[in-house]
Amino acid sequence: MVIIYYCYGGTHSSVLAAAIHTGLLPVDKIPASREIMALPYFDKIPSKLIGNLYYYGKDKENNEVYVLGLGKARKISKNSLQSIIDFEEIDEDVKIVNTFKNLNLTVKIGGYISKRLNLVFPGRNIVIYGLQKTYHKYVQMVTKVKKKIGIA
Amino acid sequence: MKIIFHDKNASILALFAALLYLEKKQKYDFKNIMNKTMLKLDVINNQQGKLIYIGSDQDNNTIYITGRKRYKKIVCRVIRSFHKVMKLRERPVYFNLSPHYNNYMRISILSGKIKLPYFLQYYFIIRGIKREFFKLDNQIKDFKRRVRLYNWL
Repeated sequence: MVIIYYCYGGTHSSVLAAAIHTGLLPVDKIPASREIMALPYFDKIPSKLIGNLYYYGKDKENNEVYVLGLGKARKISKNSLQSIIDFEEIDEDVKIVNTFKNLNLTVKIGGYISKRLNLVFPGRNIVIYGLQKTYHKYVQMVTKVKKKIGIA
Repeated sequence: MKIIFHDKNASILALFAALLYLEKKQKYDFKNIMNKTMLKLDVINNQQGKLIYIGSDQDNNTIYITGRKRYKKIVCRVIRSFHKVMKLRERPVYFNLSPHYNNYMRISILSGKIKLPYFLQYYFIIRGIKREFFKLDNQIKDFKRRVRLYNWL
């Protein structure tokens, strides 16, 4: 099965969720800043490449986990993906998870500073602070996804 | 292959181009196509991005139309990379119809937005398509040749 976590840039919240899913981050405690900073693709995918799927790793059941940024085309791209899934009848092979709902204002501001204003150092730290604040929500979301696909 | 005709709104132009590709279209035979497909376009206009299946050509390539607003690059990338990841048999090929928009079509879209009667929208879009017909026809023939070559390779 393929699990796709998507957010605006595909580089902050979706990466965090994918890292929790693949076991790179713990579920029982909030990770330190450097742990989040060291994640693959974290704050590294440029805005130009929004729309590409990036392989993140495999979970215990060998399901492939991907991250995706959809920018402002979130609804349109989601509709396209859904119609391809319907046409190809691969409903049971793909799980698309929206990580937007866990975003807080701090992460949005940090992402804007890092990606739009190109002030990477302050932006990245603000994003990490915001993600740590809502970390438990991401853990809950990933646990739900895992339950749905029958892992946890 | 999955051939996707796309423009901002999945308009009659996209549908017309798809039917031209399928050679189901006689020159200027607009009334039939509109009557048959308005319902589909209504559906897609409420759900931008959704692919609408139009038919298959003689090489078994499937033909779709879609409206992707201003996000051509993102939507195309998403579809392409999703096909790669899922290892789907049919690869997507795109035909962008935005360069074929002329002022008649823009007026038609505008009249739809300000809710003028339908017949006015149709009148302008058909005038627009008639104006663009030969250019579009040539490009689609060329595109078809390339698709066949690609299939053959």
